[in-house]
Formats: sequence, structure tokens, C-alpha cells
Amino acid sequence: MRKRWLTSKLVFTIGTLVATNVVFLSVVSVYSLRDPILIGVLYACAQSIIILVVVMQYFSVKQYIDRIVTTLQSRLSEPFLSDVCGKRTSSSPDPNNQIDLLIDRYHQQQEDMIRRSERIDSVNLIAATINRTLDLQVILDTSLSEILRIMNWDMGAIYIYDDRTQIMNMVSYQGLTEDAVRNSLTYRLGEGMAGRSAKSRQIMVTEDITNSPEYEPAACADLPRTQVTVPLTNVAGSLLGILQIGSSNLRSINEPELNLLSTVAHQVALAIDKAQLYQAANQHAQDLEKIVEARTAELAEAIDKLSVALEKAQEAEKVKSLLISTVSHELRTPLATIKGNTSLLIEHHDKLPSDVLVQHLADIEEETDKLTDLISNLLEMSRIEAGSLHIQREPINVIDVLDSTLGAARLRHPQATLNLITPRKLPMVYADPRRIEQIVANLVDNACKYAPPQEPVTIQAEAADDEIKVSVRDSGRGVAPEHQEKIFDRFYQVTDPASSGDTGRHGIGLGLAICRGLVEAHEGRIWVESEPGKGATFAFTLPVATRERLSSGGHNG
Amino acid sequence: MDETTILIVDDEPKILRFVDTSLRLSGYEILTAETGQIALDIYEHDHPDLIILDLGLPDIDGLVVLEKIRQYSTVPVIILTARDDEKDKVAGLELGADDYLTKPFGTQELKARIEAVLRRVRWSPQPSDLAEFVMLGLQVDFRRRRVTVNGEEVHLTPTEYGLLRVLIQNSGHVLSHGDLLSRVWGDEYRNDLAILRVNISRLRQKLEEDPREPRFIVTVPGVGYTLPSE
Repeated sequence: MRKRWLTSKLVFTIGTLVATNVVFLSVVSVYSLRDPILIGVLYACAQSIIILVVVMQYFSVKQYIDRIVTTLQSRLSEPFLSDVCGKRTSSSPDPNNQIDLLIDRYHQQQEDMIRRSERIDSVNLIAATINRTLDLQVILDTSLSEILRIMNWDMGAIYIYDDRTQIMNMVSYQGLTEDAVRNSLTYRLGEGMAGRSAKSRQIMVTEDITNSPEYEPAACADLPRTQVTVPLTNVAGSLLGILQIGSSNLRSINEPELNLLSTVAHQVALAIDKAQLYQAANQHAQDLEKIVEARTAELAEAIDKLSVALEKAQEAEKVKSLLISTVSHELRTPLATIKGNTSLLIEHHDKLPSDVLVQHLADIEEETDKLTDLISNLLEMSRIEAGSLHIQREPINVIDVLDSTLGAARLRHPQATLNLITPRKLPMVYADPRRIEQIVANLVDNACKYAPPQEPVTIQAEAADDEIKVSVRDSGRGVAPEHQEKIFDRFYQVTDPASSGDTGRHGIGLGLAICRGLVEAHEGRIWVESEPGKGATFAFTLPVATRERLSSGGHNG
Repeated sequence: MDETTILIVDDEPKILRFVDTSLRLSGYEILTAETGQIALDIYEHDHPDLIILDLGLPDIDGLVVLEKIRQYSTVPVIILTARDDEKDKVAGLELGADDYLTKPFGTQELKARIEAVLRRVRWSPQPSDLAEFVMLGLQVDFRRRRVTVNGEEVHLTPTEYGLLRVLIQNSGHVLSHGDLLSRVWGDEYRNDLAILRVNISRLRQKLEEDPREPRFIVTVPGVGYTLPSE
């Protein structure tokens, strides 16, 4: 446009020159002017018009050029432009062309300025995102989409390097097809362009992937044509990952774009570093927490153990105090009768009729016997618990022992019916006959105590495998299931209001405990089978005497 | 003196037998019971003047028997226990037993306790006694042996009444533990702090608005108690 304008000025000037001379010559010839003065005046007029037009055109163009030069001069401070001006000056001496180029450049530069400002905005946005959130994923996604948007590339991905496995894992991507993502999820250090870039810590640009020696059209269908890989490193220079951008069309990348990419890559690297530090700190905190938890658990366990131990100790203490209070109670009751009667007799013996006197003396005697039994049982129990029970084992025939035991029991319980059922012959057992007698006597005494007077108590012995089983069956009120196990514990009392009455006074709760101790000292078992109301069968076993048992136990007491 | 009837409750027949023989020879009328239920029945029917109650009964716990009796009666009760346990003793006293005896015991000791308790019950007014005592909301009519707090009658056991009476007679003075014990229970109780504390506590429960901040029976730490003069 400016060219045409200048051309028109030139044509107009020449046209004016030609036309003025043509008009002068025509006037001279048509009017056959001979007067040299008139011709001279006319010539002078024509030349004056020409000079006027030329001068006018000169000033018009000069003014235009001046204006442009002034405008350009005001921008000359920018090096790029002055550089371009210099280049243009040397390569193209045509001033008109030069001006056009300058103007083009000027407009381009203005666009660059806008783009540069946009880029700064982008970098600022990325930086702001990094500062705003600790969520690495958000940072990576934002950074990637911003860099692609501002550079106007259509694909990109960020990888984070795992130092342990030496593999880079894709953590963010944009513009990639599913296949492309699948094919480029990981890169080994040194593998492919991404791997090489990472390993060398160098920016690598693949201008056209189709020129690459590794290019395989089938495998690279969805991959970008042009690709730039920027390694991400922290301040110390350790590899954190890579940032890749790509374009499906052939693209070139200039220096400022590379600079921008590096700046963004630096920001992303900072973010990854920060996030990894944060993660490490977090991990550390979690580890600490776990350690604290583990310690707490250990402590809790220790406390549990301690409290179990304490409970056991308290239990033992409770048993001990129960023992003391039970024993004290059981000793005090007969003592009360003895002391009360004695003090009564001391005070009033002379006033009492002889039958009353005898009754009180008999009470004293009975309670003294009770005390003696009680003390014997306590001693026996303590021997069982201390493991210092004196057992004199020998090969014995249980039938003989039962015979003699029942003989004595019939004297103690003249009103009771005691039946003995045994086979003709039984294997010998290796046991202390006095202890077996003690066990059976205790069971029979109990049975007689609970069995109705007219009902028989049956004592039976039988062989079972390599054991002899002895049982004592009564038809008394039986033992409730909840007591069947505990009834053999020392001081265990079945509290049952129905049991009160003339035989209601319980013993101290040692008889069955002693029986169990004695049976177990013979490697046997003792138990009760009973249905409440239908009587009870107390049974125990004794192992049959064998050669080994005889030889192994032959010398101890 | 009218014949005094004593109910003896114990599940051990031999103990009943010697207590019965011994107390009859001392001139008491004796009733015996082997279970708590029988004891309650006899008490309701015969209204004995004193009960000797064993705590280890086979059917109803002796403490429960005592509690039931105390719901409608201030009859003197001496509890018998075969346990050394302080807890039983204190529980019995807290429920209103007047005294306790630990097995084994001699017949003379038993008689001394019975007499001491009966003495407290039969505390007859003396000419020097006040006819009436009034302080804040508390009113004691010594002639009618009637105690009211804010107009409502309060039932005191003979022991509690005896204790309050001694405190009132000495109002404004501090009475040592030993003084109180020997004056109310007898010299043989001089060192029995537990029985004093329990009865002070029971008395406060019955008389004081806030037993933790007593106005009538004030503790003098390490010494004894006092009923402040107004």
C-alpha cells in the first residue's frame, strides 16, 4: 500500500512534467507563435508549474519518511529491533522494503510481548499452584496443562523417578491416547529418549520422530511427531523425573520457548522435591507414630501381663486370706463350744445335775475330736500342696483294701447299708494301701452323710484298660453340674439352703480336695457323675501295676 | 426386777446348749433359735429383752436378721461372730448392734456384756438430770425418752440414746474416747474405738442435717467428741 502510494507520487510528478511540456509545445505550434518573448514567457510558466509540482511531491514524501523514521527511532532502544534493522540494512539496501520489514517486525514484536506476558502469567500460575497446595498431583496436572496451553503443544507427560528401581513412572499426562499412555507408562533410566535425557540431565529435542532410528510406525502411531524432554532435578542435581511435551504435528522450538520450558520444569522439579520432602517428613511422622503405637502396645501388653500377675497375686492373696478366715472360722466354732462349756463348768459345776454335766463334757470331747480331725486335714492338705505327701507304694490288691475299708466304715455307720461289688480277680495296682483306704473311707463317709438312711451305698471296683476304677454310688440329692468340677477344690462349699438341718453343717471343704491330691499322687483321676436329685457316683482310677512302674518307683517312698 | 428374756440365735446346738445353761443359772429366761427365720418368728411372738445373734446362720445372714429387727425395734442386740474380720463387726454395729462377741468366749464375758447392754437400756432418770434439752432443731425429752429433730421423732437404740445423753450432760466440754466408752458402755470397753465411732456415725446420720458437717456431735481430732453449748 505504501509502495503504491509512493509510485503514484512518482507517476504524478513525471506525468505533470510531460503534460506541461506537451501543453507548451502544442500552444506554440497551434498558434504558430513566433514572438520569442511570448514563447519565452510561456516556457517559463510551464517550467514553473513542473518545478512547483516536483517540490510539492518532494515535501510530501519527505514528511512521510521523517514520520516513520521518528517512530522507529523511538523504538530503536530495543536490541532485537536494532539488530533486525542492522541485518536488514546490510542485506537489503532498499529503504522502502526495509521500512515494510521494520513495520512487520514491530507488529510481530508486539505479539511477542503479549505472548511473553502470557508466559509470565503462566509461570506465575504454576508457581502459585505450587505454593497453594501440597498435593503433588494438582501441581503436576496444573503445570502440565499450563505449559501446553501457553506453548500451544497438544501432548505432554510428567514422570517421577524412583531411585530404588531406577524407573521413571508417569504421574501426569495430557493429550495422550489410552494406547500412548499404556505404551509409555514407565521408562528405565537410559532407555529411550526420555531415559537418556534423564540420565544425562540434558534437554533433548526430537524434531521429527519419523527420522529417529528407533522409529517404528506401528508402535509409535499415537506418539507425538515432535517431542521435547526436560530432565527435572533438585538443587543438589539429583534426578527427580522428566517433563515431556509433544506435538502431533511437526513443530520447531526456539530458544525462548526452551527457556520457558526450562523455567516451568524447574518449578515442577521444586514442587516434586518439596512434595517428596513433605512425604518423607510425613512418612517419618507416620513411622514415629507407628513406633509410638508399637511401644504403647508393648506397654499395654506389659501392663496386661503385670495386671494378670497382680490378679494372680491378688487371687493367691485372696485364697490365702480365704484359707485363713475359713480355718479361723472352723477352728473358732469348736473352740467356742469348748471354751464356753469349760467356763460354764468352772463357774457352775457344783450347781449342775450330773446328766447335764455329762452332756456338757461330751460336747467338749466331741468338739475336741472335731478340732483334731480338722488339724490333721489341714496338715494333709498342706503336705499335698507342698508335694511332700508321704506315700509308701507297693503292689496291692484293691479288693483286699476295699474289704478292710468297708469293715471299718460299717462300724462308723452302723445304720447304713454298704454294698461291695467287685470281680473275682483284679490286676494289682501299685499304690499306698493306707492312702487308698483313706480315699475310699472319705467317699463312703460322704455318701453315708447324704444318702437316705434306708438306701444302700454301693462301692464297686472294676478293671478298665490298664486302670482300676473304684466308684462309690449313693442315692442322695446329687451334685449340681456347676459344682461337679469345683467340689474337689479345697475349701469349696456347696451353698445350698436345702442342705441345712441336722447334717447341714458343712465341713471345712478339705475332704474331697485331699482325695484328689491323693489320687493324683497315684497318677489317677477322680471325678463325680451326678444328676441332681438322683444321687451321685464318685469315682477314681488307679493305674495297673506294670513292670516299668514297679522298677521306676521301686525305691522311693 | 422383771424376768429378763434373752433370745439366743446360733446354728450350732452345742453353743446354744452351754449359753442356755449358763444364762439360766444367772437368772435369765432363755429362748433359742437355730435359724434366722425361727429367730424372727420368736422375736415377733415373744418380744425378748435382748438378742444374742450369731452372724453365720445357715438360712438368712445374721446381718439381714439384724436389719429386719432394726426396722421396727431398738431391742438391744449382741452379735456373735466366729470371724476375726473387722468388717463383720463394723457392719453389725452399723446396722445397729449394741455390742459384739467373738468366738470363742467365756460365759462370764458373755454375762458381763449382757449386763452392760441392759444397763444402758435401763438408764433411769436421775434427779440431777435435765427434764428437757433443746438446741437448734434438736429436742430431747429425758422423762419420756423421746428425741425429735425439727419436730420429727427419731428412734434411737439404747446405746445411741445413752451416748447422746452423756454428750448433752457434758455439753460444752470435750469428752475423750475413753470417757465416752466407759460412761456409755462400761470400763471394759474403754479401748473399743470401733464401737464408739460406729455409734457416733449412726447418731449423726439420725440427728444431723448434714452428717459430714455435724452441728451437734463435733469431732475433736485425736481427743474425742463434744456437743457445743450454744
